[in-house]
Amino acid sequence: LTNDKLNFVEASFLVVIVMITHIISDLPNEIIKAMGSASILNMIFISAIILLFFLIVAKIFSCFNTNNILYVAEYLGGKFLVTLLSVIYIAYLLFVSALLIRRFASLLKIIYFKDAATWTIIACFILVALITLKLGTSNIIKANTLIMPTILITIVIIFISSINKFDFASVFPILGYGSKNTFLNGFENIYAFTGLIYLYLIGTSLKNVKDYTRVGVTSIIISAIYLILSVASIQMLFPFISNDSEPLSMYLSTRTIEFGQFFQRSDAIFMFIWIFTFLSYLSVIGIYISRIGIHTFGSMQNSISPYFYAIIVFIIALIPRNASQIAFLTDVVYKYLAIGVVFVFSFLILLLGFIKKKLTSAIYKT
Amino acid sequence: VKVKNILIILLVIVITAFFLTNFSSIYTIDDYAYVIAMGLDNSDDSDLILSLQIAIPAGSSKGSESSSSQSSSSIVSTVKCKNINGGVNLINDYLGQKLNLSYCKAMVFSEEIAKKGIGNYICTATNDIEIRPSCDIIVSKCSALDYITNSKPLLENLSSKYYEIASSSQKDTGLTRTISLMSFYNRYYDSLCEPYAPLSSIEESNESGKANKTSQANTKTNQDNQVDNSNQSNQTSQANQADQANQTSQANQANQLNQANKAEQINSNTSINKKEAESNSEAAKNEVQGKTLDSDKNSDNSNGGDSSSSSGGNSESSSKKDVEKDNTNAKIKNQGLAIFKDDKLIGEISREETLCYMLVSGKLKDAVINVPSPFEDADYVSLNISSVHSKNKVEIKNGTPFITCNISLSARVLSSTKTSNYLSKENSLALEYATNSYLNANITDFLYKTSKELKSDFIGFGRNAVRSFKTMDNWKNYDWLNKYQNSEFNVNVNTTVKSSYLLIG
Repeated sequence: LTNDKLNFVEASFLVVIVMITHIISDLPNEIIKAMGSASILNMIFISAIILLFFLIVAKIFSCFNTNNILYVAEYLGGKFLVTLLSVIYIAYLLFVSALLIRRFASLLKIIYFKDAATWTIIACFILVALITLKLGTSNIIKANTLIMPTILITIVIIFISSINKFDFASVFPILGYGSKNTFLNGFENIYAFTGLIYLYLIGTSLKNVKDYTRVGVTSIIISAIYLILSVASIQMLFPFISNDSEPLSMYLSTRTIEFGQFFQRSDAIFMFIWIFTFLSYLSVIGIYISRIGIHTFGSMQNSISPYFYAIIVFIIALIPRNASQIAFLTDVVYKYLAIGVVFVFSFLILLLGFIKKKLTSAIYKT
Repeated sequence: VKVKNILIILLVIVITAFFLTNFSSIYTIDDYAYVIAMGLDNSDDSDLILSLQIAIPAGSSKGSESSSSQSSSSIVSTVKCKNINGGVNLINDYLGQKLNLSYCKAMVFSEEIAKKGIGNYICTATNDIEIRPSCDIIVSKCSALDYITNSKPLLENLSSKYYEIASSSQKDTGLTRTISLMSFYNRYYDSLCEPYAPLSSIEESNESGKANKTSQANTKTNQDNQVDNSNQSNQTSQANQADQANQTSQANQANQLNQANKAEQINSNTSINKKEAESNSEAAKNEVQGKTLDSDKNSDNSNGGDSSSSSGGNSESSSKKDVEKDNTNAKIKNQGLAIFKDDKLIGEISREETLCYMLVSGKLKDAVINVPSPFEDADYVSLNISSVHSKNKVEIKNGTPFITCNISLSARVLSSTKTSNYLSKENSLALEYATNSYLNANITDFLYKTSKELKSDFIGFGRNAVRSFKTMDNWKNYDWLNKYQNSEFNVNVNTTVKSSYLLIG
């Protein structure tokens, strides 16, 4: 699984797929609920912060001969730290992918598969991910590169085709719940960019290591644009979202799209494409987990990794009993777990590794 | 290895398909009954009377009997229930086919139920996976049952298509404005504006222009429509009205006994809307089929709420009886807009005032207005107005909203007389001045009506006002929707008379 090297486009899409999947599974809805009418302003602010954050990360990586945080952790804390980091990353990825697939499976059940049990829908996704992982990483990467443009186009179509129904006054009052809430409390919306975790890992898989910064900047900009488009379209279509309602906003926005009287009910097309998005997402997460596992625990686990991944995701996905538990896991647990793992713990390792490196080189010089 | 992989993949696909499709509960298109309109009325005991207009497809046994030219028909089923879902479930129970709301084009609320508040129904409908957000919301001055019973197209074969076309007529007249379920829901929750809905009523019509050859068939059809058919048989086609009445009463008794143990009383009112030109007496008789659980139409349980209500309710009741006497002569008439405060109907505006609303909101595309002629007393000049642009500005001074509406529009003269010369420089200016004055006065009156009388900002000036506020807390504290009643208005209309049409002058 580790032999495949990624070109610029493949690497960028491997990062973007994670962001887009979160967008489809109602990430904009969570942001709008917290920020009210200042959601777009907050997203622009957060995007700028994340871009700056990544440039700092890239700068730190440039001090090492690698762009992979696992090597930095090994350098900083030896085998113990890299094992700890790997376990945390694998647990985090398993939890997030299980949560996302559960949400999407619940949506599919509501809309199309009323008579099917949720576990069968989840099992279908996981079976596909398992098969693709067994068939090889290169297939997943190529499939993802093909699927991504289609998915990006669907979000643009949603935005453009519903633009005539936008209520532009929804962006006012411009500061939402106040400047403190928008910029200070709203800072925690950096969790919208937790796809950054893959930028910690993807560096060593690039064909051209010098592309690392370009891949990061490109994927963040694409993700930011699509996040802002999604937030804007949902906010201007559904003013009621800021009233603590829990709609399936991205799906609702596709239901409002009508191309004249002859082409209606296009939401099925979007759902069809989004199914591929989630299939691709699950497979990509499987790749990341495999890469972490191989790096830390050796290639022996390569053959069992997909099965381990499939079983654990399936079990975790079945844990929430109802929609309110899923909402709690998404709104609270996932949010703070993501901030803790991606922006605090990981960055701390990078920062300490960087300080150790500087101190070591200073000692060598003296 | 490759063969093994392929076999595994095939096996997985088969297993997946098996689990997802759940063969035991597959529905085909014939298993569904498609609802094209939904009516909601009040009952006397705070229950809901749900009426569903269900399409009879042209290809079905019922529809095909008539269908030399693909005429479609529909039945209207009514139940008394606690809520929409309960009502749909009850109708499902006896209809034999599973009701599907995916093609529901209109939700009709009676005036009485709208006055009590329709927020719960709107939220329930929005939550329903089958009802589309584009479904139109309509308020009926008569009962919703009467409305959907009489919503039969005169120039259109398909009832569902009729609802689509009827709602699009606003583009050409400006005398009404449709609103979708999602828009109503948005406005219901929004702090920037209030909901509205098109207001309709039933109007008696002599229909003198109809073809004579259809009149006989119409009469027959009407007679048949008077009868609620308690069974699916063709008894109706062979019986005279007296026999039918007897059968009906017997069926009523039996059905009432059968339903006695049911927690909710079910009434069904079945009628057939047929394209009149295709009707003939035999076909009309045969086509009147439907299932009825309680066909006591004369007692009119659906109007039960009216008896307990005031004179408005009584007039509605009589209106319904009239309609039942001659369904084909009744037709839907647009009455303007029903205005809501929160989710409650608090007033209405006329068709002319609706035109003012369309002008102020800048949503008018094209309309014809008659302006008092500046040249001859008691005469009017017809103008086709288009290219309407409105720019509204709201300033808050000492807590009072001052609203300025700047409206610009183009006009083309439709009227023409032997001596008229509307497009000379002087006459053109005079005509523009007269148009501006006329529209200015009407729009100002209309705006003050919305603020002082209706106290509802359904126009959406809140969208302009909110720009003056920096935070949502400030906005909520100001409480725009209640402050709107203090608004002062300044209207400026700027008309440009472009030209006439073929005859210049």
